[in-house]
This record gives sequence, C-alpha cells and structure tokens, in this order.
Amino acid sequence: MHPNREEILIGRVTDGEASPSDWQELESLAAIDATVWTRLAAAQRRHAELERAVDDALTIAELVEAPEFLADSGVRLSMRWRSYAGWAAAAAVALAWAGASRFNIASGPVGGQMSTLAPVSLMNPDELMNRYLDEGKREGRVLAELPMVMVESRPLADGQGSDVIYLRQVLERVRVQDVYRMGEDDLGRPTPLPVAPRIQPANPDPI
Amino acid sequence: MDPLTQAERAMRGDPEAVRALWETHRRWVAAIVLAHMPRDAELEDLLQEVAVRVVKQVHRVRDPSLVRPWLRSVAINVARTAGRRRKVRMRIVRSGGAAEHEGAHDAPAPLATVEEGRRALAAAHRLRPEYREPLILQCVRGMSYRQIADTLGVPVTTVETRLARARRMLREELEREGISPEGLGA
Repeated sequence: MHPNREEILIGRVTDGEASPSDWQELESLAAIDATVWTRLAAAQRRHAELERAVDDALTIAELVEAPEFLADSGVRLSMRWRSYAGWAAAAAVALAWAGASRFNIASGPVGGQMSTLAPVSLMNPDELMNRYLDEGKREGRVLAELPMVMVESRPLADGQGSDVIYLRQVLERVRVQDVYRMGEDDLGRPTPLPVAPRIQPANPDPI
Repeated sequence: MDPLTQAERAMRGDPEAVRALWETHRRWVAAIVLAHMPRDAELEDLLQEVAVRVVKQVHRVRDPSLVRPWLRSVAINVARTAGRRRKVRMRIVRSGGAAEHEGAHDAPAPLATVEEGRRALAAAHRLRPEYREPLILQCVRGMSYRQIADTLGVPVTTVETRLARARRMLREELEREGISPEGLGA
C-alpha cells in the first residue's frame, strides 16, 4: 500500500513541487520504462479534472463574507457576555412573552412618532416587522437583526419563481430581576433553577 | 499585513482584521468543509456557519500561529454537525450564482471534462478522510505541500505519502466504476 518512488515523483511533478533532482530521477526511471510518461500524463490529466471540479465547488467561497454585525461588535459582545450567556439566553427566552407585550404591535402605535405611521391594520408583514425593529431599537430592546438563514427553497411548479423558507433572527436585550437557568430536578427532569447570587455586571450597560 | 499580525489583530477583536482573516483563508477553509461535509449538504450554507463562528470565536485562539489549525477544526466541526443533521436540507437562493462570480473560470470546460471532474470529486468523497482532505486541499490553487502540512498538523512527507495513496485509491475507485483509463486520462 505504501506508495512507490515513481508515485511520489509523479505526485511532485503534478503538484508543481518537483525539484531538478526529482525530474532527473523521474527521467532515469523513464529511461528504463517509457510508460512512466504515460502514467505521468494520466495523473496530470486526472488532477486537472479534479482540480477544476474542486475549484468550481469552491468558487462559492468568495461569496461568503464575514457577518458585518458580528465583525463590528460581536467579538467584544461575546467576550463580555460569554460568562453568563447561558442564563442570559434562558432569561431572554423565558421573558420574551412578557417583554413582547411592551411592543404589542396589534394594540396600536406606541409613542408620538409612531402615531404618524399608518395604522397597523394597513401594514403588510414587512412593515410590521420593520416597525417592531425600529420601536425595539428606540427602546433599547432590539440590538440588531442578525443575518437571515435560508432554510429551504422549492421551485414553484409553474416555474415562475420559488418558495423560500428562511429564519429571521433578532438580537434583543431585556432586564430582569430574577434569572433562571434550565437544569434538572432530583429525578432528572428539566426544570428552571434560580441563578444565585443575582448577577450584577460591573458595567450596567455593557453593550 | 503579514499573516501573524493579521491573526493577532483579529484575535483582539479588530473588525477589519477579522474580515481580512476570513477573506485570506476562506477558500481553503471551504475545501476542508467540502472534504468533510455530507454529499447532499450545501457548501455555502456551511461556510456561512463557519464564518459566523470564526467572527464570534476568533478571540478564543491563544496563539496567532494556531489560527490555521483552529480554522480547520471549526470547518470540520461544522461539516460533521451537518452530517448529523443531514435530514434538514438547507439551500441558499441567490439571484446571481457561482457561475456568474468573477472568480469563476474564464472559459467553460468541455462538458465531458466537467463530468469527469464531477465523477472524480464524487470518488474522492468516498476515500477515507485522511486521504480525502489533503487531496482536496491540494486542488486549492496556490496551496503548497508545506501549507497543507501546516493546516493538517502533519509533516510534509506525510502529506506527500497521503496524496500518493489517495491518487492511487482514486484511480482504483474510478476503474471499479468502469470508467476507462482513457476517459479519465488514467
């Protein structure tokens, strides 16, 4: 199974790694058996085909950028928050329902500026979402909208487009009095457990 | 900016350096993902996930010289995680497409060559990871044996040996498929 010398030399030549002495050695082998050149040509052709296939597949890499929001603030944010990210996430989930009531868009405009906007009933989902984000940012709850994650696309039967399913993620902050994390009770069942002592970050407004 | 300085600044949270770090390495990182992902996964989706992790976690790297192996481990983790949840098909729709990107080849390859390349890549995916990975990395333009060795954390001689074995196994794999040596130049 161990590659022979000829395979190593052909590999070096194919990969552009051959030294002058490698070439000399290969020529010496070919002087005894001229089919070495045939095998070299075959290896080079196969490599070129594979390289092209890989290159085609990797072209997509140039389209993938570092996420802007995270690049600008995510590192600092994650360093500051990672020590208590677990409970923060749990708290955010637990309080999402309660917090959402403050932005109950179905209940009508909030604040003076919003009163100039169209009534909720006349807004389409995008306008409603944008309004949620704008209002959330104004009140300090919405920190940013993260890049969308596409889940699936299905071409329509009539060929006139596609159905696209995607995930929209909003980074939010809430302030709470009591924090819980998910743990297990004595029987191993999932249960919320209070986090004690109450966490008080040194900087009250870390983001 | 030299690679170590770039890595160091990225680790300190410099957004520009993080961006530059990603752009410097994303092509070979994509090759790692390609080598380890399930065949039915979408490379772009996984690569985006890698990008997010890189941006969020690069500050955890302790030594700038370890950035390359760290990137590889992130790429492998993402690809393997995708393998475990392969039932969830993910696809990104873009208005353009890879073929329109300026990085695409200048001239289209003949169809036969394209098909042969696909078969070779499919056969490469059937090799064991320790052979598949250097083989695909070697196809990333500009990657030397030394860089592949640094990425994989093995000596250059090991890279050479694995590549030679991989090529032999690839040839045998294609011959088993009944593809004539002439058809693939073997």
